[in-house]
Amino acid sequence: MLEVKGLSVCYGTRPVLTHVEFSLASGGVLSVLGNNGAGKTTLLKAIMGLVRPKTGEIYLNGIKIPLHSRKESARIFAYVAQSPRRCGLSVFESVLLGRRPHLNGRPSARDYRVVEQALSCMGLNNLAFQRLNCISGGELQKAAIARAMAQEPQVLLLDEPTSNLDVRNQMEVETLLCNLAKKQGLMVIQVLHDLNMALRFSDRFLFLKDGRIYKMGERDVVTANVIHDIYGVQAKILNVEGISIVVAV
Amino acid sequence: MSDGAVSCEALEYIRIRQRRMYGVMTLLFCLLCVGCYALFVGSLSIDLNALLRSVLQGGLSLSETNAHILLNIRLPRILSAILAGSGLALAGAVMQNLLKNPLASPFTLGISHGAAFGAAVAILFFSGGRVDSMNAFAISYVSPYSVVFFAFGGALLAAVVVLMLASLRNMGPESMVLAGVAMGSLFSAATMVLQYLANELQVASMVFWTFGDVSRPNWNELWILMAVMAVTSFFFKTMAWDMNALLLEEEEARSLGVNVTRLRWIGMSLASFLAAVITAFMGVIGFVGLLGPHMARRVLGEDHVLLLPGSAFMGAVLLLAADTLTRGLFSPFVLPVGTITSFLGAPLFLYLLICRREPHA
Repeated sequence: MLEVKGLSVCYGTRPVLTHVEFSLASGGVLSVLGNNGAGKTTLLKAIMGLVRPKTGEIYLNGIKIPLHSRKESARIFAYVAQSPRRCGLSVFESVLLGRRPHLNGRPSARDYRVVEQALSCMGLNNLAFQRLNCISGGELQKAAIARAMAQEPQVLLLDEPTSNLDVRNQMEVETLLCNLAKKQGLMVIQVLHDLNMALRFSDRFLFLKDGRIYKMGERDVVTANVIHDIYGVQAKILNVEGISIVVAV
Repeated sequence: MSDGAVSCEALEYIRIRQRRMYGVMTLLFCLLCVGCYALFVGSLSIDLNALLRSVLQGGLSLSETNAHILLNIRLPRILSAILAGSGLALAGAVMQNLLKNPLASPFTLGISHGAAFGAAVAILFFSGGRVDSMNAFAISYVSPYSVVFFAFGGALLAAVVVLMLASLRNMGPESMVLAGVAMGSLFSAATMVLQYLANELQVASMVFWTFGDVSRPNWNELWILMAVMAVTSFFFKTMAWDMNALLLEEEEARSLGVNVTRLRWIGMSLASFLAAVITAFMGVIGFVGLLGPHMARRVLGEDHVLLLPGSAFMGAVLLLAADTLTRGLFSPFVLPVGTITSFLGAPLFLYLLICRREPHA
């Protein structure tokens, strides 16, 4: 269980997040939603300790996480950026980097096994020795998630993991994340703009507005009124063969 | 670790790493070969067969002149080229990684221009460059230590200003590169003002200093270079994994537990210091710091555990080969090695750019 209590962040004197509180159980997938500048990415960074919060504490299974300890934090949280960077490392080398928080000197047999499992889980075995600057956007995103998995985190934080992907890759990545959460008891927190993806693959929703929690809860909090208040658009939520779909009207 | 315990991907990774390790060893072997060859290149020919025979017979029977040329002229020159080439390439590789810019090098960051300005100050105001003897091919400095000292100060000043600006204004890597370019321009302008104020001989001294020359350091200075090289290399080795992490998005590197600010500050300080010491002793040597890492990267990939030593060996081979060329090409005249590195470096760099693999569209 991850608990975020009273988290506030300021950039200079400007408050970006104000008293954010929520909890997430093991195996849960939380989608953080809101318009641009609402503080979604800052929330992810503050949870990981990449941004120093003004106030607030984070507990994992009832134990307070020391955010100042980078190595400690890197063993609990893994982060996937919105647009992973292309470089000359091979997919295998980049995933092996995920073992850095656990390494003492050279990689051990266990480190290699964890990397192999992460590659296998993401279906990247055939691309293991391709360079990151020679693979497609979807494969790059999967390689970034594989690296995050190799970190063996308890909480996986993703900043718009599907924003650069086509529909097929969006579905693949979200299905993988959902399966990871359910099978390995991982807590997944993802920033999303696509409400339909969020509705389909998340079980908890957190709407941010001007750095404050506007609404939080399960599927029932995603209503036409909330969407209008957050995004300023009229929307309908339709049910097609048991799947909820948001349509802007 | 038994190989049977790991997957075929891991085994393949270990095999690829071993192949790259052989690549590093091959570069080292090339360096040794060029170094041995360079011992026998010069205006005075030394009989290689006679030397080998005497070594095999358990002694080194050389005439006094030949022994002096080998031990006090050619060997220090070769060591200078190796140390300068490896140091500049190492500094370039570190700067390119930390600033996330393939054009970063001691030359493009204004360090060389700072050193040239420092040398010009010494020549103009501290009698560092009163010409002792001058003919068509050589200028010697009456007070070489003041030139070295001021060149080192100038190089360090350029590096410190860029690092301080970066620290105070919380600059990103792109801004640091731009600040380096601006500092380089500023120092170039200041050097030009000094040249305008100087007399003909002083101008000649200033211009001559900027021609990088590996024959300047003596044994004492070589020991200093070796010590600086050893210390900085040790620190760079400990940073190699973090530098790999920095190839990813900066936030991702931080999420892997890397203290990016500290890594960038320490790495840039050490790389700048290494480049400043080399430039102060040998003048401006362009392109080695830029070209060495790019060539090594093509052979060894981006893993900094191997790329850093690979870049150092590649830079050493490049500079030593260039210096040997300058000694052999127009013998008995010797061109400053800086001219050859720039002459050959620019087209080689363009070739690498044309041939490089473009990122996936």
